[in-house]
Amino acid sequence: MSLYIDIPESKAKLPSPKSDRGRLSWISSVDHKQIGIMYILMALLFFIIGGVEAMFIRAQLALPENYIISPEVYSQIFTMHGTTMIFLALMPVLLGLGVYFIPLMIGANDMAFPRMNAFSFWITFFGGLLLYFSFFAGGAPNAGWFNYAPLSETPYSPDVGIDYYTVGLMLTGIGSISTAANFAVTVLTMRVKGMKMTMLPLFVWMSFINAFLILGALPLLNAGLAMLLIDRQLDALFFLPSAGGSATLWQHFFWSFGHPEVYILILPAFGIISEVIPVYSRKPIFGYAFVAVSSIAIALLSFGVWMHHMFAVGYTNIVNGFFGAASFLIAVPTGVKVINWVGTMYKGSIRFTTSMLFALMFLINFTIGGLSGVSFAIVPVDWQLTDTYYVVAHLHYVFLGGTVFAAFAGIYYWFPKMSGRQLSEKIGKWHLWTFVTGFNMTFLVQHLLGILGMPRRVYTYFDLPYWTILNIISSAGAMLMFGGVAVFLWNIYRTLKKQPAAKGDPWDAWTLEWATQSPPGQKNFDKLPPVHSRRPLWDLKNPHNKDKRLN
Amino acid sequence: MKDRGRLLMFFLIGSEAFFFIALIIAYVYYRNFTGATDMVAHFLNVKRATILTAGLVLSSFTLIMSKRNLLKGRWKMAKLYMGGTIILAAVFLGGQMMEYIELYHKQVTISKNVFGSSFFTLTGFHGLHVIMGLIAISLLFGFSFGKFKVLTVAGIASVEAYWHFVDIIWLCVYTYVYITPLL
Amino acid sequence: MEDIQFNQLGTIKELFIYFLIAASIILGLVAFFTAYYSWKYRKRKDDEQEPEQIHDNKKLEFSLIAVALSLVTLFFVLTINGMNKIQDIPEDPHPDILITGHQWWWEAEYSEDGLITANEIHVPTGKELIIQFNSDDVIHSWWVPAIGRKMDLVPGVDNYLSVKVEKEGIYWGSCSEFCGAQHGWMRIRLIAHSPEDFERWKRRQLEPKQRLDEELFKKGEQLFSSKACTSCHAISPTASIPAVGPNLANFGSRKYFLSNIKLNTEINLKAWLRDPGKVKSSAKMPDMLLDEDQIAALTHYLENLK
Repeated sequence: MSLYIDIPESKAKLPSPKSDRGRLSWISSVDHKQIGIMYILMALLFFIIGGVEAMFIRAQLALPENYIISPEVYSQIFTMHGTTMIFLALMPVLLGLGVYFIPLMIGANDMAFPRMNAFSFWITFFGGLLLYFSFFAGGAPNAGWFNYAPLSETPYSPDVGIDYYTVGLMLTGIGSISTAANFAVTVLTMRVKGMKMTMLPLFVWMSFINAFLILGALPLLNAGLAMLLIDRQLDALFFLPSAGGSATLWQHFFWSFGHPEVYILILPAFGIISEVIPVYSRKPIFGYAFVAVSSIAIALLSFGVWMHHMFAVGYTNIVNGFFGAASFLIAVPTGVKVINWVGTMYKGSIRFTTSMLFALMFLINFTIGGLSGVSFAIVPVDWQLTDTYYVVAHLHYVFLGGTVFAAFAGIYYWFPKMSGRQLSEKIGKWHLWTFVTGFNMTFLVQHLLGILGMPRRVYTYFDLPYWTILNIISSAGAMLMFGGVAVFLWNIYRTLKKQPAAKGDPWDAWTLEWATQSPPGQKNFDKLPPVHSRRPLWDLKNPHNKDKRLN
Repeated sequence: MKDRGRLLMFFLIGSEAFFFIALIIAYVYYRNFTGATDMVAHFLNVKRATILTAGLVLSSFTLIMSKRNLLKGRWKMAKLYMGGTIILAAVFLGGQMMEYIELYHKQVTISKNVFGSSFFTLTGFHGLHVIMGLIAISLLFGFSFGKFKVLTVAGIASVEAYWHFVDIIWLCVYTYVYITPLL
Repeated sequence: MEDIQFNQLGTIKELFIYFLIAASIILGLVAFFTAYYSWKYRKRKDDEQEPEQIHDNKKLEFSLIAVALSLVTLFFVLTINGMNKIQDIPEDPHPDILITGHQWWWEAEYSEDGLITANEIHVPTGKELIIQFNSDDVIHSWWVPAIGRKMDLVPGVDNYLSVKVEKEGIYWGSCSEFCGAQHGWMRIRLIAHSPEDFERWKRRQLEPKQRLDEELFKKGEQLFSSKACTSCHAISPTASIPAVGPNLANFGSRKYFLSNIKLNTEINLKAWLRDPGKVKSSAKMPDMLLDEDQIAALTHYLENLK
């Protein structure tokens, strides 16, 4: 056995999972492309499970005084919906795209630590399985995805669900941390000759910044989880106010992780959008330096805004004012990025592929989510609207209208690269319009529900004026969205059944991942073009109109 | 390019630092709201903790010496210093074990009060990191014998970074847990 | 929500409307330019060449950052103003009402005369009230949308809120922090009286209850103590202990029960006593295994406590 993993020299294809041997080679793979694909498949699996849970929630809430599922089961379902979507669907899809594309985009043949890469994926995956095993072990976690103590403590949640929550999330957290460290080392040490840090494709740059966010934020969650687990298993008293513990300390740990987590889920999405819009507008990103530097600002500020989740806890005006100010500030670098993307389209030659349309929908829907987010920095408005459906609407505009739209844009953009086949544009547009319409139906009206006074996480409600009709619209929209996902799955299924036929570079793109065949063989690159600018393939394709040389 | 392992170790250490910051914050938070100061004066043996601290700091230096000697090709001295590190680490763990047993006899446990909860969690997680470091150093030590002889400077450098980190964390723990309550 | 004259809600509404105006303008601009550029710069058939490659425009970017910064600064100033107006509690507050959250009901104690009531909370209008919040178990959150802000009920922490209700009427609210299975049905009914009516209400609540000279009533009263109801429910309007379940001293005078989810009728109360878990699952009230006669007696007794 060698201590070092050799880069495969063969240009042979990745093994097919259709044979036993092929499957085994996937399970035991340390190849970043295979691990990336497995990450994305894992995300898809849990996205569907989380979606089914969402359908249960919307079915229960469709009508007032409805009892399709009991309040006890409802608590488990919405807890698992949130936890699944954030930790097992959104993070894996973003990390998976990173694992697949970071080495390709910087001209490397693998990650810096291939074995640790595999470890990260599997521990995340098994963390997810463990979380779901709780359903069979006596009940899923039921204290919400932010799992506030002391509700999550033994006296109020005696079932094992919360224990599975702590252990499951610690495992996925360790996986995320090791992937993040792997990203950081890969980007720092494995770039192709000539590619300076200031020349990274923006998706790589965002994932790189994101790695530091993960390295800083996840341990804070892990520490909180460890204390909670010690409380529950060894009868310690951290979060038990009746015995001298603190009820709010958990909230500080959770949100000092939880708010960076929001940016962990959105920064790579910004990266995807910053790759997709330029290619389909046939123009470089407008203001690369600003997009790149503002992400650093976001990363730093994101550790100083967590208490805007806690304005109603009863702190003084000075504390609340400080965190309100930080929350206003972080809106600036986030918001002005939108201008960069719109500016990229200016005087372009725009191709309306499904991927580009998702990016455009991202622009508008993420703006809505971002703006409604700013309303929480206005502390008195937060006092009124926090923990209502207004928040539910806001966070879904950020996570779905932001992260998921961007992930779809990325998948439609990179699918030919990963599989050698192009997803059907026609079906793709059906997917797009059903999903986007359903999404806006579901969540736009929830802003109103929140303003009308509907608290979040209620399992049912009285028929107060407008409540029923708004909830019916919301549930109908959710069904439409679910249909949209079904169309997406159908699109993937029928595309994968076809023979690989896509051109190596169907979008005529400019970053290095397109400088090899699609899909790449076991070895990523034979020969790389010279890298002198942020768009090496542009320079290659337009020898008379090269970008400014940066090295 | 060469020192990928060391770079990785730095990132993981940085991440672990956040973990310990959270634990220390919890400890300080509870100390400020409960009578933990009295607890320290009554139950903790600060003198022994000071000796153990000195030992742990010393073990960092012996590891540095080991690396220096290895760089100069003095295998025997390198191994000797490394063995010293292992012994010092083991002494530290033994001391911590003694402390736990004493506290147990004085009926200070993790479930007794928030001081117990945060004290045992903080020192326990640190102890866990010492154990992991001890295992890593022992592995390196073992590799340096017989036909393996794969003791490399890069290997020591990574473990060394980790070991210094464990040391620095302990200095913080020592300051916050044993010293500041008495000031 | 249509009454703007309440000053706390008024401040919040004003801020929200300013926000809404600014946000609509920004969203309008983003949507407009996204749509307009999409249409104007769509790929034409004769687009053979790549378009002009524009990399950046530093002036534009910096001026937009400046605009954004001044906008958030403006809103920050408004925020601080609004916050100081709303959260203005004296250093050493003397609460008029103490509200305690329980899984899943509300307890209110009037500090002036020690009157304790549950779920239906009566307040006088026109008076600046200071309410103290506490929790007996997990974190709850007080929110009556038409009155104003939320305040969390954190176990082990005293939170204060100053509330002024201008108009008489009934205001609905609910717990706004997830507090367990029945969080959704932890509703608040706030009843605002004119000061005179409020005093009258309070006097009636404190009056010793008239004991009916009836067989059924006496049987109910006797069952109430023999069936150990008293180990969870107090039956005197000023007894704060035990507070496992709501104080039932004036049960008959309440319009709703079970945190305001059921009308306080004989049928509903009987159904509850017959099988609490069926009416409100996970509720802390055990099934007392009563027979129909006992249920009738207890119901009669409780409904006449007014």
